[in-house]
Amino acid sequence: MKLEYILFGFGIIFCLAGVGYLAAQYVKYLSELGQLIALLLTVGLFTCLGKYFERVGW
Amino acid sequence: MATPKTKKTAQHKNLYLSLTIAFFLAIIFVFVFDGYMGVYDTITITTQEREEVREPDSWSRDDYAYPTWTEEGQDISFRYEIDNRTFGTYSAQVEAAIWFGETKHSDLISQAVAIESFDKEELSWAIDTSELRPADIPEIQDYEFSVIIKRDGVERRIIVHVSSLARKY
Repeated sequence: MKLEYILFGFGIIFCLAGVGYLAAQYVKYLSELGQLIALLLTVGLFTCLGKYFERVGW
Repeated sequence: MATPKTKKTAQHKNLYLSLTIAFFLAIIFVFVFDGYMGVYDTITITTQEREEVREPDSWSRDDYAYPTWTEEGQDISFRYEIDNRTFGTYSAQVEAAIWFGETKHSDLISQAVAIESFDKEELSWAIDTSELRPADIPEIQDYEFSVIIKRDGVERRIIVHVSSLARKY
């Protein structure tokens, strides 16, 4: 059971790292305005995600 | 049975989840839209029996120079396409010239362009390599020259390697 959670945790970390790496590669080619908008949207995304988890009870 | 309070909480929960997905999709949209918009240039080089296309995104990976080659005596044709994917008219002076190292040999083209929004313009020229060999390079030796295209602060360099025929035949 514990091993499953550990593997699950690794899976999530690798997934986030992969998405982060791809996003960083894409961001290099964005214009400054695009980077600003993407940053604001990311802040909004994590705010709403945080609120969602708060409501779920995490 | 759900009480009004738990029903409201579930609605809020779904609202935040929906907003999260909406923000995520908006970020993807920004990436795609921002990548599409802009002024892009494509260079097509034709010589002998082959055609090489230098796409706009390849300049962002390696912006120093693009190497190509031909044999002495062959014509080498260039098609330079400017794609204006902006909401305004794009105006610029396009200049192309042949360079040997830091020395300019000759101008190929110098033209002002005014491209309407979401429109393209194509410029073309050809070089006859039989008349380009510098005097100080023996006929049995290959040589290189650069075609430098300048447009509104953007510089594209194509290095052409010309193979000598004297060495072969």
